[in-house]
Amino acid sequence: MKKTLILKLLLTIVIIAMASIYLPEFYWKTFPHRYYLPRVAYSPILNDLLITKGDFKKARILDLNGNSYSSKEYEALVPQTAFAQLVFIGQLPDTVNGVHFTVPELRKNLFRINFEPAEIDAIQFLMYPLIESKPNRASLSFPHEFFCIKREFQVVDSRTNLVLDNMSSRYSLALIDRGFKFPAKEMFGNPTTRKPFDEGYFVIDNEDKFYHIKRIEDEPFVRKINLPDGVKVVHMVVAERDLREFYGFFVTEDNRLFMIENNTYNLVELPISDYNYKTSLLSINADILYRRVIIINDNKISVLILDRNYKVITTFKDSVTHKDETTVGQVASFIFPFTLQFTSVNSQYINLYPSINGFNFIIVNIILSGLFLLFLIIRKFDIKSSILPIAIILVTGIYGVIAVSVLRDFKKKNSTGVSNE
Amino acid sequence: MLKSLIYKEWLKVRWTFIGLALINFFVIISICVSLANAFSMVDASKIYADTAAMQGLFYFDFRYIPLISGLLLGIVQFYPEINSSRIKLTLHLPMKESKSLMSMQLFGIGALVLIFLVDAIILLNFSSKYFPSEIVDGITITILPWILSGLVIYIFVTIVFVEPSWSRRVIIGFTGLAFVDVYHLGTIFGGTIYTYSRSWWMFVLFLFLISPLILWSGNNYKRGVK
Repeated sequence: MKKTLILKLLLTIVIIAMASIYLPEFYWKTFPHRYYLPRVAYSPILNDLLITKGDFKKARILDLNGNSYSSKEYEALVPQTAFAQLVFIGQLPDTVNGVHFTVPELRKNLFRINFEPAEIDAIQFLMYPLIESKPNRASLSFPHEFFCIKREFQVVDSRTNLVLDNMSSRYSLALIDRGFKFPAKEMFGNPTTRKPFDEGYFVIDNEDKFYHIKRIEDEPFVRKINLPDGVKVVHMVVAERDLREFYGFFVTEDNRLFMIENNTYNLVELPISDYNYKTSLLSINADILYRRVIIINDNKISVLILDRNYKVITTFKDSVTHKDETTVGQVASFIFPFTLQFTSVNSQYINLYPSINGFNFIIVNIILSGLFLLFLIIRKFDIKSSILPIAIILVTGIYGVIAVSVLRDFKKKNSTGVSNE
Repeated sequence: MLKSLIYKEWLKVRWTFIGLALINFFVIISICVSLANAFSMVDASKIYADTAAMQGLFYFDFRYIPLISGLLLGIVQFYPEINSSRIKLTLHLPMKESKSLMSMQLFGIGALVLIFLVDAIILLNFSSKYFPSEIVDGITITILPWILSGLVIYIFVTIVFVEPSWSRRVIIGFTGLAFVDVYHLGTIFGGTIYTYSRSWWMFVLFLFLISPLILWSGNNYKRGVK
């Protein structure tokens, strides 16, 4: 008797778990929530923000006073990003705000750097190529040596799969010399040769100190980066760009954003707010005149326009209807008591990600268990012996109904344990 | 008694077992040969870079092999039992029916584990000739859920076959499909890549949760619940 109870509970758990993964998934696939956050640009001609609202079918471009612009007018107002089209129709201005506009310069200054939660809580490379930063060739070449920083700096030759002891100890010693504590917690870099030059890797050591490591003329280059007190680096995007203004940007455990200046290793803090590295999307959109920092939290957007010295020009905040506030979301919060997921948009690690959306579901759960009780009474089942299924439906709602319909654990009054349909 | 039961199971599945083992080893050996070829033709550093980023999986051909093996073995082993209700005889052996059902299932799991273990040993040993242990560990964590999914589908096939009621079979069948799917969340071509490296133990544990459910099906069968 006890054994069958355990089996029934096991089956219930398995069915409820699977239902709570796939029913909500199917629901949201059928009734998808699409929303379009405003896109924000800063016009050097108007000296004001331009906001594009709506989806791709009918977008409206407005300034803050409510004047609307056609897309052709818009392009003329943002020559720093729309230069390709302006050159094509021969209307690129020579200078804007005293800055000389030439296509190579504009192109060199145009880039975007993204921080996504799933890239921060991401799968680490198992080994990194030790790229030569000063090759005596025109372009970078892919090395045979791969490394990881565990108990020591370990270099493996990919051709022979053997540890290169000499090279490993040279790099290990160079790191120890600068006070590096093994093993490395995380490494950031671009392990590819499809970039104009190589800046190696930025490494967090076991004591949260930050190092720049690269291979120059086959010798280790190690430099410790001085961080402000209490700052712990969480993620860095290394950007090897011809602009050579910076090595990259990093975010910290207390949700601050810094830039590391090229050569000087000076840290420049960008004054962001509303950022949480575990859930927010952050992008740095650069052009020859401005740096736009865009932070997106679900249905909220927060934009920071900075000049080239990283001083704030203006800010902008807006939001659209949250998924849970829409009709579809409201219905979901009634039907589904909870949702289980093994993957999350905020991580590349598979794990249990349970979520619960308010307590509206209690109403539906009570109705469902009431209906079930009615069914038991009409079909003249013994209610006392059906306490467990009632409890299951009361707690897990629609998922419980599926489990109970499989268990069919209800007995006729005065019967000898033979359950029925 | 147990010995003869297992012998009976062996007689039932031996050709399937041998066939599945051959298919498995053929796939594994073909992966190994391709890897060796790749190392002789392409620059080793390119293969390292792909594998170290866990994106270019040279052993991707293996992904659904355990799944197919588990499904086939389950069908071959349990279809004859429910066909013309032969399982009645098994359940009437002078042996507790829970014991006979569990040993039938464990026999199948054992057979699959044997095949998959050999697969894994060949693949990992061969890889460790070419790759350092960091990368071999990465391969292990990637193929582990694929292998487990073979066992999951086998267990669900046994539960569905022993279960007498069709309506229950359908729901349990769907639950089984969903359960198999959570072992294949790792690599989606062109999409985000996920890893089981933090939670693989959970997915091993799940096997122990679902395996005894065959007793519940057996119980339904014995009581003649339709």
